[in-house]
Amino acid sequence: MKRLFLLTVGIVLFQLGYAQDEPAPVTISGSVDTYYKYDFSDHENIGTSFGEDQNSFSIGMANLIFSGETGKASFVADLSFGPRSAGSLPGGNSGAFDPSFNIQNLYVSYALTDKLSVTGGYMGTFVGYEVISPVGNFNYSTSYLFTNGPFQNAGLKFDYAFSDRVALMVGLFNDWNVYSDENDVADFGAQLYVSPVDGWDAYINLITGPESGTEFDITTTYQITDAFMLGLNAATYSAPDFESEGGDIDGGSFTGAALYAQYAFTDNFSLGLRGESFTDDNLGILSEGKAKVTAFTISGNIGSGPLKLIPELRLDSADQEIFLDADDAPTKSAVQFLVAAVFGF
Amino acid sequence: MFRFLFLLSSILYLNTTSTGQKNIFPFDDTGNILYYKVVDTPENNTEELTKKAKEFFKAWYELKDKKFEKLISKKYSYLTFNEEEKVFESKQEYVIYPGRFLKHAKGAVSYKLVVELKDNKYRYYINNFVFHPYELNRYGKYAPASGKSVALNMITLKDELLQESDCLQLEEALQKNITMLEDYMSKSFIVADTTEKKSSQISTDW
Repeated sequence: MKRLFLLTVGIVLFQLGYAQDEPAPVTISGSVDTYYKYDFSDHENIGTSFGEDQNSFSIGMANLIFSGETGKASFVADLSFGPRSAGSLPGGNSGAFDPSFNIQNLYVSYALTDKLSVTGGYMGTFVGYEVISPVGNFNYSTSYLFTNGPFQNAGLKFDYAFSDRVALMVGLFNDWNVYSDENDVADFGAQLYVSPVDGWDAYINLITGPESGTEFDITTTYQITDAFMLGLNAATYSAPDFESEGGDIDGGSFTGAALYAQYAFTDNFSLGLRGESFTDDNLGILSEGKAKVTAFTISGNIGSGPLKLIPELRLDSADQEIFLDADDAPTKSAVQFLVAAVFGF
Repeated sequence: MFRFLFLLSSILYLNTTSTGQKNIFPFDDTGNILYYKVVDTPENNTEELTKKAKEFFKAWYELKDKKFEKLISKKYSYLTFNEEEKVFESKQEYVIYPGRFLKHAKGAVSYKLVVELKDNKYRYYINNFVFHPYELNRYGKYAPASGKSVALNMITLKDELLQESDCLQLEEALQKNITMLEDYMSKSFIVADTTEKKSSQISTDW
């Protein structure tokens, strides 16, 4: 903490001495978030990431991002603290690695040409629709696809922009969500970006490795009008098979799709619906064997400045009794309400 | 007292909506932001003016000769040169850092700068101003938010998108751009008359 304070003071002093007619060489941004959640079963129930605490005024995370650009080189150091941070970082909950690293993104990038850049370090994943920072999400709770996909991919990647509308990324990565790979770098990742028309972005993603498994993911958003936006995330994942004396055992898989519809009624109020279908086949995410869950989340976004209030109602229903009711008896559905405050700066 | 407060609030409201950008940027008759000027350059034919304009764009984009020639020969590029019409057209962008002090970029304003050349005179205009708000992306960087661009003249300064200080910052940058262009176009000769034409339309007859 003392080091962070000294780093911040150092950057402030450096900025003070910098010419004021040029953009700051290092900028700071970030967010803080806090929430209250109530699950109508009166205990934690829905197993997606973050916002777990039941009937409690709780904190999410404090996020502090330092970034800078000098000529063709740039860097990002994205630090986070708090329960949302711990739940999203290597070892945050399991203790496998030192959680005091507190790093969401830490990488350097260099523009080799106008169209080709190379980036190396620890980066937020390129896979999926939702992100760890609550500033980047419309809903406060997260999807099953987000929770079960990668959070970060450390590695080396090359981005090539064919035009403003088509780009390709390829890279070599560690296993998912680790600061250092203990079984050698073996994951390959690729992303094809296509923008058919203004406001429509589509990302086709692949991440595959012998230890990590293979995830194929499509993420797309279309800002149809100034007020109306549609988004879609669809993914399929296969875990590597287990070796056993009787032969290989299927490691399991999941498939899912989430549709996002958001409408801005005014500059200060938007409403969004997320509908998701997620099937777990023998991965043990929802239950033993195969299970399917359908989740609907309706969220408001109130405020157009740095502060955003998110009231949210969520209903999850499954084809098996994977939730618990108020009497702790297995049940097929769960309902929760939360309200969150997110401040981005 | 109530009437006085009502009157005061009405005046303040009108002040924020009707002035603001109008006081900062020049507008054409159709309500779009337009910087426009015809500059007389006696004893400078089109060829000489072309050389000067090329030097300006090379310096502006910090390009070497070979890369510059390759760039302007492409049909779709941020800088093009129509050899027949003697027209340079460049797409430019200004990133807005609110306060320029430990703050992330708020967004970028893109615009078009056109320089047209004739014997003994040239004209330039800057228009097509579009604001592209930035959003935090998954890699911890602020980048353009897709599908949320808006014409700069459509933004009122009471919106959260831009403040008056942001527009003043942009205006200052545009003036630097214009000054640099005029300096390059006037190099090695004395401009006899640089009277600003008060036209607020881009006509074909100039």
